[in-house]
Amino acid sequence: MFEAHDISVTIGRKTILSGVSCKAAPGQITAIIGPNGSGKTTLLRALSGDIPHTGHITLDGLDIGTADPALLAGLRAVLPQATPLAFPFTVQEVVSLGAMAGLSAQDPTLVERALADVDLIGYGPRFYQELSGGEQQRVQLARILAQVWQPQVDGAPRWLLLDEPVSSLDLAHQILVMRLAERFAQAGGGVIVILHDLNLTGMFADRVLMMSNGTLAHSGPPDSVLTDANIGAAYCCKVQSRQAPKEGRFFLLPHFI
Amino acid sequence: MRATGATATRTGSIVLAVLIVIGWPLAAKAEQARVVALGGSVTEIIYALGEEERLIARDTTSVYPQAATALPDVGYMRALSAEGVLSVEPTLILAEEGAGPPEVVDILESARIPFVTIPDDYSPDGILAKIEAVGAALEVEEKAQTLRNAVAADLNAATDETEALANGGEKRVLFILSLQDGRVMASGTQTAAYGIIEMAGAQNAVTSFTGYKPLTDEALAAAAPDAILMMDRTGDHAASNEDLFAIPALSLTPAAQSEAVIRMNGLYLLGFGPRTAEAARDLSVALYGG
Amino acid sequence: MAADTAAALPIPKVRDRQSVARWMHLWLLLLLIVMSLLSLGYGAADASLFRAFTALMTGDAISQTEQIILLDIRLPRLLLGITVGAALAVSGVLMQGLFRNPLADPGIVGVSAGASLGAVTAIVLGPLLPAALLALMGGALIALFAFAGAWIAMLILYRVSTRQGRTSVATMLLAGIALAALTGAVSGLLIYIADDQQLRDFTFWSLGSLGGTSWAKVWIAAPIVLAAILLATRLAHGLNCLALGEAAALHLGIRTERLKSGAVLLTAAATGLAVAVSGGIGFIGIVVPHLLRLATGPDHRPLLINAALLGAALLVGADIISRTLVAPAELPIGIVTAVLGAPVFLWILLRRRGLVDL
Repeated sequence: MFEAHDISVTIGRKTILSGVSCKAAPGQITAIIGPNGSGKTTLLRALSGDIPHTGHITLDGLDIGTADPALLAGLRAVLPQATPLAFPFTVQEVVSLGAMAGLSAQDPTLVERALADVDLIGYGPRFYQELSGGEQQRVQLARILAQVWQPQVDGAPRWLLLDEPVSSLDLAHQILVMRLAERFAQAGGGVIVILHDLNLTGMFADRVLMMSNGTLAHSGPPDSVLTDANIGAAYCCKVQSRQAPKEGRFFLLPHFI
Repeated sequence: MRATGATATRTGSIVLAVLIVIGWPLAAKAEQARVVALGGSVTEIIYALGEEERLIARDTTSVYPQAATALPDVGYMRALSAEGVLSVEPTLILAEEGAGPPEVVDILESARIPFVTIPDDYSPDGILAKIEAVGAALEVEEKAQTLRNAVAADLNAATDETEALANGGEKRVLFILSLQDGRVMASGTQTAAYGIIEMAGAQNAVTSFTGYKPLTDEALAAAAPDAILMMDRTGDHAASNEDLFAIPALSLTPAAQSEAVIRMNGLYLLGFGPRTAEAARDLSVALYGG
Repeated sequence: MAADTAAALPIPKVRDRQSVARWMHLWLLLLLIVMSLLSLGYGAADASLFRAFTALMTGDAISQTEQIILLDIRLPRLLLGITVGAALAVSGVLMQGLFRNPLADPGIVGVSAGASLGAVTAIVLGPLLPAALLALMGGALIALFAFAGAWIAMLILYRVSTRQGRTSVATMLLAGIALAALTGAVSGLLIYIADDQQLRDFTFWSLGSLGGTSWAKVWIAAPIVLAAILLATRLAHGLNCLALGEAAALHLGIRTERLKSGAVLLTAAATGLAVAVSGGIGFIGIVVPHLLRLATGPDHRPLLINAALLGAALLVGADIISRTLVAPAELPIGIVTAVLGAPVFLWILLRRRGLVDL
């Protein structure tokens, strides 16, 4: 269980998060949604232990603030929004950095299997910087998958913290990545994911945290959070869900791919 | 067979004997000292003493007399290489003050090569002390005494002459070490330039600092030199009269009005060796007219 | 299914890079040994190593001068050259890893500027110290001041860029520029009051030389630099992770604060000593890691060791040139490394441009 209690984050004089308390359970995908600047990424960074904050965050009883980074690295992996790479590492080298940080490092096929999972078979020897944005994002996903390869170890869950993992992906790969997350949760791991796409949220999330102005506006199962009223208030935009547009206008939902 | 062998042996001994006869004095001389001179004035004094055949190497600043430049150059005397100096197989090193770095001097001393430092002082007495020190190190005290006396007499005579020329009206002389982008690097006190200007019966126009420093335009104007003294050389130190007087502050000085710019060879002017009396005379004549 | 496909793939190029990197240890070690023998055997004096060996074998005596040249001049100079070259190259790798920039060099953490200020202070103000103190320190005065300067500059910079236990690498970069400007100003002031000779001394110091080598310097510098290199290899994995950014490195289990302070301290120790004993020697810290990254990739684990070996070999080679080109005088080694290093550096830049973002 990932538990945050009364989290506030202040950077400079600006309060970015105030008094957020939330929970995420293993075996579920917990989606964080909300408009730009609502504090989604800051919440995820607080959960990852990156930024100073007030309040307490525990991961299965372990205090994030004081835990040994190496111990945490075995328990959870974090996918940032964008990862610049300083030197010309190859894809294989990048993914093996994740493998080495986790508990499955001794498995020699791990890197190739993680790359296969994100549809990048044979990309190992290529230079990371030569790949497209979407391919780079999937390499990073393979890296963190390799870090927490087994969703459960001795009954204890592993966690994926994903910050917009599908932002630069095409439709097919969006679904691929969300299915990976789903598989991970079904195998007993925990997934906390920031999503911009409310359709994907509705499709995959077991639980939704809706952020607004640095606070947690709503939380619960998708059906109870993703209401027209909640979305309209948080995003300042009138919406109508569960209905096709008028006059046969084009729309697409990837539910049946 | 035997006869041939005997002939060979005999020829061998004759050759050996001849070699010994010819070679002995050379060897003895070589035994006497193989000298490395560090510093232009030390080299000049060795030549003035007539001991130049003992010299086997010199430093970068030793460029007079011309013959000295044919010797191997062991580099700038303050950045010597221990192996470089040892490679010329010296038995005596004569150095002006400040030769180094100290680690190199330590190694040379550990190689049991006498390292003699010759004191440096920009005054007539300083020159005489140098000659004595070089003479003592080379163990030619008598020759050194003769040279010392000659130089002392020359220096005294020069002083009298320059005083007579100045005739109580000491001119103010500004020594310019270099001129770059209109910035003047001038001599203050405690420099060789200061010493030679004094000896030439003139006075240094700048007394407010020691060593060589850049002067501001206002200080230049305030120095009001009657003449400007420079080293006669090419490269970044070279500057034409136009360059000089293009500087507004200099163009106002008496030196500019009379276009009194004196250029002299650097080592001759500032070396403080046996030629310094002559240099002082030359400078004095250039200042006051013969 | 996925595993089967992976097994069917040709052997990835990455494996090659790793084995090349391991072979590179051996080649570079051989290169260093060859350079060392050349360095011992070759110099202004014709004392030859070969003759010394034969003499040792046959029990003949070699002359005292030859002994001094081999044992008190060339040998300590070789060891100091190895020390300085390795220190500069490893510091370069550490700084480039820490700042995630292949153009970073130890100058960034203020070490060079501080050492330079220390040296000019010793040269210009040293004579004002009490004579007894001067006699005690002897020739080590400039080295001591340069080392102290390097450390003081680094500590100030570290202090400025650390807040609440977190060190900002970006602040350190910018503060380093400010500190360099400040030390430059103070150096300028000292240069202004320096006399002609002191100016030349400082110029020669800043061009770098192994000319002032003594066994004392070797005994002080070599063990510390060796220890710094060994400790640096323990930062290799952390630096690899840091290439993904500080946050990612932390997520991968790296204690990033400890990594950053470790890299800075080791650099200050290694470079500070190198600069103190040899003056300003440029380009080794940038060119060596760069060449090696081209050959064996950016993985810091082999890179640190390879950099130490290649840096040492290159500096020893440069020193041979510096000692023999204008013998019996010698050329400042900083000139040699710049003449050799700058074109290589440009070539690397032009070659890599557009292909991979450095």
